[in-house]
Amino acid sequence: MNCTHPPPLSDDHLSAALDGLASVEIQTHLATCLACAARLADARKLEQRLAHTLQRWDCPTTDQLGDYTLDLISPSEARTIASHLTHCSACERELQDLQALLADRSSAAPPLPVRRSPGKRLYELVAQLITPAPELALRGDDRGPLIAVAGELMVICELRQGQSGTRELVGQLSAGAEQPRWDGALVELRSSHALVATAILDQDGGFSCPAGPLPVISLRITAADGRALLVPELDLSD
Amino acid sequence: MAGVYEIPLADLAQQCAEETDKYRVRQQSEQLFCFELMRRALAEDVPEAFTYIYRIYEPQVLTWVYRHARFIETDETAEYFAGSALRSFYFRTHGPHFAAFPSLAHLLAYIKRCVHTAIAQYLRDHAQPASISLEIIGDSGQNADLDAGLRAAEVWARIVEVLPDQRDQLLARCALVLGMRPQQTYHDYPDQWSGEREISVALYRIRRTLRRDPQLRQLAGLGDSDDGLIEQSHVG
Repeated sequence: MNCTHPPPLSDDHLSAALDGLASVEIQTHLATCLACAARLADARKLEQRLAHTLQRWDCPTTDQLGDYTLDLISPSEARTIASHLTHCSACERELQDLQALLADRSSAAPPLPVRRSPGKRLYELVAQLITPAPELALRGDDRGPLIAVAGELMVICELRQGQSGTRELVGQLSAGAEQPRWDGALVELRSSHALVATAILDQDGGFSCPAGPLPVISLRITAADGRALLVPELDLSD
Repeated sequence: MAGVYEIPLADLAQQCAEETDKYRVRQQSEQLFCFELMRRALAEDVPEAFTYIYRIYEPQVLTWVYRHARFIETDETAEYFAGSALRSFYFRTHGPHFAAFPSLAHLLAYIKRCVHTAIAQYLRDHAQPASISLEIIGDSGQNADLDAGLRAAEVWARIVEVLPDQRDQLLARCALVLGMRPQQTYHDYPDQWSGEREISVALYRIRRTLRRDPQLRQLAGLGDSDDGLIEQSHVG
């Protein structure tokens, strides 16, 4: 394919276009010349792939840097990180941020900044509640267990009366082949963002914890690797 | 010390909460109760004790989130990072890990470290390299798979090969590995270049070189470029 408006755009013109700095003339050329537009798309793809592949590829993880700062890693690992810090300004900056936080003895929070709405959260699956089949309804109760599903993950919960008359939420997470990943996961029950209770998932995916008196709670189960399953609204009204 | 082991959990939590309040207003406080509460929550893995830890320390953790220098650069709520930090704290200090923390001060420093890590990891995850347009967000799953298949070390080794000059390598690292813009690069390495302009010019040259390297294109899963067309261009 040949440029329809020769001469073809140079590589530097393409770089300027990728950076959003192209002149009107270049933009017009790109809008009307399929060949140069294709070269731009190709250049963009290459830079995207390189940047995605290389992003912080040789940097210590944030956990490693944190443990390095608190002297919680082996001497050999510490030497490796110290060496990396001599030529990586991004890691050096992260280290300084942590050191500043550790040294900060002030207990007062600064004025709250204006927050934007958070976007999609990485590592967090939001489960959808599904209506259980009638045969799953509890005996003497017209309601079945609460079932929430997110991909391969399913959590089944039901409310029980505890020994002292308090309400207890008993649940089971089913993750198929991924079940071992969730062993020892941390379960949090919240009501209007306030923590009601925590529990630890046993090796079969089961948990139980006090449910508190409020009718609607959210349930979050977080695995040790940071993956989380969130059930935003569990209706526990009697 | 023996007595503190026998205090019922709810009473222990009450004592810890009171001492924490004193700590917050800079009064002298007793750390024994909170450390014992931490020990039960983490060393003995008692979920009810961790629930108390969460309730007592969440306000303090929120304060640390707000005071972190780079929290303002995120789009997330402070509650999100506080929760993330406390969860990470649990997973990294419970069971046998607890032995590495001989005092409450060590544990609280570790929570601060978890606050920092939550924010720093968020910023790493959401960093867009300077040369990348927002269109990458809409990139296809197929590309994502190809990206995942690329081996960073191999790609970087090739870049070092085609950019033998050490300053070029540093610049490529700043742009591609760290996602830095020329302004930030000059700020961090003021002795290497005369100014942002020189960095921008050098980056254009580097991008030309990388774009035309067949081996690098192959590593990135792209075919040959239209070299003939590039040669026709008058500038660059």
